[in-house]
Amino acid sequence: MRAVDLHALAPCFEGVIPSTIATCSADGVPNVAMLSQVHLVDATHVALSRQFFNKTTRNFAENPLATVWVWNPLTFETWRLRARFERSETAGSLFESMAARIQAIASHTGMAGVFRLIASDVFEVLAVERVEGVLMPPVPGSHAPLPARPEPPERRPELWVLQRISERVNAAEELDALLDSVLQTLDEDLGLAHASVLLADESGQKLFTVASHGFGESGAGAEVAFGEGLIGTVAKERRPVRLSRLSDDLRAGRGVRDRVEKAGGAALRPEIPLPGLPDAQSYLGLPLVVRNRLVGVLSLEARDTLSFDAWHQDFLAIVANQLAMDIEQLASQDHEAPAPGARVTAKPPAEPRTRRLCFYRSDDCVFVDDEYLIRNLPGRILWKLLRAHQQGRTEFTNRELRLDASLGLPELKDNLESRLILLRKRLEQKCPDIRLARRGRGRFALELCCAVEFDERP
Amino acid sequence: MAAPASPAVLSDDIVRLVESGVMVMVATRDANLTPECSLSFGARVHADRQTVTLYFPEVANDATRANLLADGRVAVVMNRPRDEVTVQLKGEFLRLRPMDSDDLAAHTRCQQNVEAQLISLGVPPAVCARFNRGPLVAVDFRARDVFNQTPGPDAGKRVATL
Repeated sequence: MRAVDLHALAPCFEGVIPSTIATCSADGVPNVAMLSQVHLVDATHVALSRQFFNKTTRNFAENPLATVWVWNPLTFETWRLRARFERSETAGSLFESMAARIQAIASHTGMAGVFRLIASDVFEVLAVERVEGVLMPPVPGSHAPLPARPEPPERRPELWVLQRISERVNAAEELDALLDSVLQTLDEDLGLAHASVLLADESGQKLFTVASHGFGESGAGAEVAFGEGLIGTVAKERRPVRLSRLSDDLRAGRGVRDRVEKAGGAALRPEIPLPGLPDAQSYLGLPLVVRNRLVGVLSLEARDTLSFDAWHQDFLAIVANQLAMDIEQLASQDHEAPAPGARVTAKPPAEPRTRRLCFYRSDDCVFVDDEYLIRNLPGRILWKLLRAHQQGRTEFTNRELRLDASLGLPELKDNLESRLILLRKRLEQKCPDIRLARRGRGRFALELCCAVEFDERP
Repeated sequence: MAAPASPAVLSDDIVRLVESGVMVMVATRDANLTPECSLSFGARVHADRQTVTLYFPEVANDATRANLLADGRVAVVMNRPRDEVTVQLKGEFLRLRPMDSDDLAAHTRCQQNVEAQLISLGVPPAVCARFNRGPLVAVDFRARDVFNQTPGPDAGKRVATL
């Protein structure tokens, strides 16, 4: 038996291998149950998620003693935690973070609302014992060695990375440069190669992707409703969600879903595709919040299990806070400044091709050559710019768009900057003959390398 | 899992579940009502469909064996990793004895099947190769109650009383 410092067993609490809890009723009948995850609270406490009342719950209410069996998913060593039930929490930071994880998996597998966290049951761990006799000692040369944890890219000192992010953020004149530089830094300095930033739209009910790194196609404009899937849960709950072995979490969720469906239970929604990597094993989503207002979500994925640990979550929460404040600041600034250096203007080809653009007034949707381009506010902006371009104008300012009542921008927190980034990226993907070229802070030009046929429909 | 109306014996479903390969975790308790938790390397349902055997390393689980000998009440959860089908059996300790050839066959079959599932779920074969291969001792208990513990709407329901 050893003195308790549960942080030394941190990998056991990542939810990779199911744990087991043994309890005993007041009249002496033992009970044993599987647990999908035991949560590390602090050096001497763990918490269990209670989604419904069961025999385990009744037992520790009568007799607080419990023994919890956990596996280290890296070494497969096993440990017994001698524990005593201390309290149940139904609100607060611990409860909210555990609830967000459950809701993320439930929502992702189409079971939002079917399961919810009733309480976080907190146990004091009185002693920790290593269990002997589960694994035999390795025989030299007889088997491959146990897999070591994949070596993470060298973690540069935290302060150094924070300073670098801070410098890049301060140097960014515009929102897209800010987002691209932060995602680039996360890759270069922390090896976080697959990340995206989604911002809340003007309705406050949806997120849309404005920047992504490491996913091949940019995915710009991809939308997620609040509460939907992993990212939507981060947004709705404004809590980080960290999953260490997605395939098992989702398999368990799908299993429950199948059984709920067979039992003729609640009407379930279809499963939501994974945000980016189809084979992601680790997920970490962090809310971007400024003064209690959700700005967006920083979403990270990795192909290896256990890619994000508690350190990542804590460290990236600092990055997310800075990012949120800078997004807010850049998105709301309204003054213009010329771009340094020479102006680069696209030259139209000798015989420009003709692109046919069609605007549907009913949903502000723009199609280019019968293919969907963009809709809503960015669609209205594009149509306004194209019409003005017909009249001979080529340069525009953010300020004039803000002052144009016909665009219907909200008076506060209008998201104009992020909508222009989205429009710029969608044009790059779908219609590179039409460009939004920067002309400095708060200024841009509409450049056409094609002839345009206009069509407007109800 | 179908729920037969109070059968007097463990159902075919339970027998098939055990044979298909399950992780087996065992709870007992001491005189102070302190619960103990142990791993059994497989399990076997006997022909009488009431007796179940667990397999513990000879060198470990002293607290479990002490609890079984002193009190005798036991709870056993069996979980099939590939689909999370899970049951809990509760019953009373019968005897502690050396393994016989039937035990060896049942233990080997259950372990091979569960290890194949673990490997398919990503557990390195090198880890499974290091699971304790013995020597093991056999612990017989008489099952009294069966509870469904598969995650889902029926979790916690009593399936049978023997």
